Amino acid sequence: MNSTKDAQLAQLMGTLYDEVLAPIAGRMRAQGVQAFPLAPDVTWLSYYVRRRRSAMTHADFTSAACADPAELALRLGAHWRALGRHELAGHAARFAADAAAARPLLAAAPAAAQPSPYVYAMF
Amino acid sequence: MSRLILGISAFYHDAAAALVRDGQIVAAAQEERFSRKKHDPRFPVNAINYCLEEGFVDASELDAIIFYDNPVATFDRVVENALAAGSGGRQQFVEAAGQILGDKLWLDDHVRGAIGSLGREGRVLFSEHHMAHAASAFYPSPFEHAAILTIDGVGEWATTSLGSGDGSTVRLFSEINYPHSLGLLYSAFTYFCGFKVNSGEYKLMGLAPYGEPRYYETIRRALIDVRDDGSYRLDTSFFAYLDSMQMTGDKFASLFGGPARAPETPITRREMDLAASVQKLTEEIMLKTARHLREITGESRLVMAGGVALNCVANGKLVAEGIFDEVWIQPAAGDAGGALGAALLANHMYFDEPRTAPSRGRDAQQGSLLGPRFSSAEVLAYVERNNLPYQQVTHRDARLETVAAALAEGKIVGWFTGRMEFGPRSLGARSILGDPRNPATQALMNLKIKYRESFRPFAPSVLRERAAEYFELDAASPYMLLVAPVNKERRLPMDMARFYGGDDDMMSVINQPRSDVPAITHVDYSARVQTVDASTSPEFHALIRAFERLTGCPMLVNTSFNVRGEPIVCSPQDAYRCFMRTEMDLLVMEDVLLWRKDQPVPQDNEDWRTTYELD
Repeated sequence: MNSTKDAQLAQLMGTLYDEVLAPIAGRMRAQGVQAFPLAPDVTWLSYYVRRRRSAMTHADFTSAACADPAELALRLGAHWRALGRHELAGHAARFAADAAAARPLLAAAPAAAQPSPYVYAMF
Repeated sequence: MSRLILGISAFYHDAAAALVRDGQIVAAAQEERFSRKKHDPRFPVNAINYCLEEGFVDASELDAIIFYDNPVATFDRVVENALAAGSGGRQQFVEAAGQILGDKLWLDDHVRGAIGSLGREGRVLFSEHHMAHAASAFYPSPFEHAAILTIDGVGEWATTSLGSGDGSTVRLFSEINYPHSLGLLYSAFTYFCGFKVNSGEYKLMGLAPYGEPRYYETIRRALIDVRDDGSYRLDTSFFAYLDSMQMTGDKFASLFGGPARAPETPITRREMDLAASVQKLTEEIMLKTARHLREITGESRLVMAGGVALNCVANGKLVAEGIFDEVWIQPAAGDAGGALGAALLANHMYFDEPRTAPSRGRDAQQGSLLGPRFSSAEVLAYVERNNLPYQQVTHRDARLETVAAALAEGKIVGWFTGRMEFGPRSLGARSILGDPRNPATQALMNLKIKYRESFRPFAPSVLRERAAEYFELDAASPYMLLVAPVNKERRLPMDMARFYGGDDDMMSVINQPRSDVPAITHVDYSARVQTVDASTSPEFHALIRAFERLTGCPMLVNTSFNVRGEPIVCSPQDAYRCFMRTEMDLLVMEDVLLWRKDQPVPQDNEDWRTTYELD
């Protein structure tokens, strides 16, 4: 990917962060809500989390299938609503619109930058 | 009509493809073997094409194409991570979200671009990451029903999953979620000790026996809380992976007396002790988890997958502990195996196809020999096209006797036969072989053949029927996933005074013979054992038998056919190139023998160290 497109993609995602995620993060902080636990709680007997469903259903196999940005908006919205993350679900269309804008930036030339071999690739 | 399913893993570690027909594995291979880029995470176009060719399948005939991970759920984690990390997570979000939203979500496009069809389903299916691991562990296993344990860095949200398999159903009922991860903890120490993540974990495990678990209590007190059932939580303030592109930060370094070791600098006592400490903790968690799983499932058999299941030292202790009567581990336990697991999962859980009962305790992994094969005619075509001096020995016994004699003389042999292995270990199809009795073999193979760190041990491939004479191992270990102690009567006393007296030079230990098979005996008198069975690896078994007839020794040193940083060889061309870049003496490709002394001086002056980034 050339540096112009790199910069365009970074700006697109940076704006998404600033306009959507930063305000949500600020509100969560103000309310003392964590996205997930960050440290042990020794009062817990177990840290295992019970899954909502033990086996995959037919619908689960297609729950991430996205043919276009409109379908992505539906998938993200459904995913977040199921988790009770209604504020994020309300922004699903924005994420999908930014995905639509990001696709051509990466489609012509996939990412040239490789993650550092000293970091576990998990994003 | 056949049910044909293509499984794909990509974008994070070890992209791969697998083809399943009516629940039977037709082919599976990692992209790195074709692209020649180690741990290649890119969409596996070459591996997919190989699988389709191997199955004589046109893409349009596929009933389904399934991806091993749910990118919507992974994106959810990216978003929640950004919310948790605050402003420090902005840059990480910018980099990760761009890749997922702009590329990784659009699997239909990737598949259509690679093979021109989405198969009969008309769209790509998706598995959950740990469901794919669980399926890869259970369905090919020799068990009708079993407990399932998957542990890795992270997949979507899960980092450890507990479940069970019964017939054609795989269930996962509880899990530990990101950012709490045994895999990430191990990788953090891998990074901190100066090794690359996702490849250096094996080095850390190999380094552990040189050290003392001096930091174990510190780790337990500061970094992680482990409950009696094996569940755990990390104190993430010591780690940097939530809000930066690093594994650990200053707080972690302060805890362990200074900054991370710089790569390729001398290994000190601290790294040895850190390795020993995190290895001890890993074993403790795996044993506690296994006991809990046994208790809640009532199952007497266990199957495992996920990258942490490649920790063969912990696996060996788990088996030796006898918590489960039998244990089976998917040999491609990392992300590559997710491609296979996803395909099997779709077959049984999406198409509701029944699972064929395992026959007489045999697994369905076919020795993990699931990759490309090159016939003798293809090898001959290669050597003749390149005017290479060779000797064809079609008589099998004569050929094996020649190779065995070379090995017995201390020669190092490149061994290329049959279908390539699926998974990170060479199992006798793409292997470099040596004489385990020779005290010089370890240093020779490390320094002149593999060009890798001298502390790293080599593995033995031993005839299954004679394994108990050498190792304290009751179970078969066909996939080299168990470490077992060398029998006490074979051990030789070692002089550790200088090493324990403060000399960090591991060579003073390495150069001492430790048993009557010194090349495969690690400094703690352990060995990473492959038991070789005639039914799954007839040619390799026959070679070891030939060596046994000559020497009385029923095993060979077996290391992967590559140099440091290079993917294991796939084709005759890869094999010959690797052979000529090292100091191997003999290359055997099917029935074609090439002696090093006869070969022309290579025209290729390329330095392999620049071709392959050191791992």
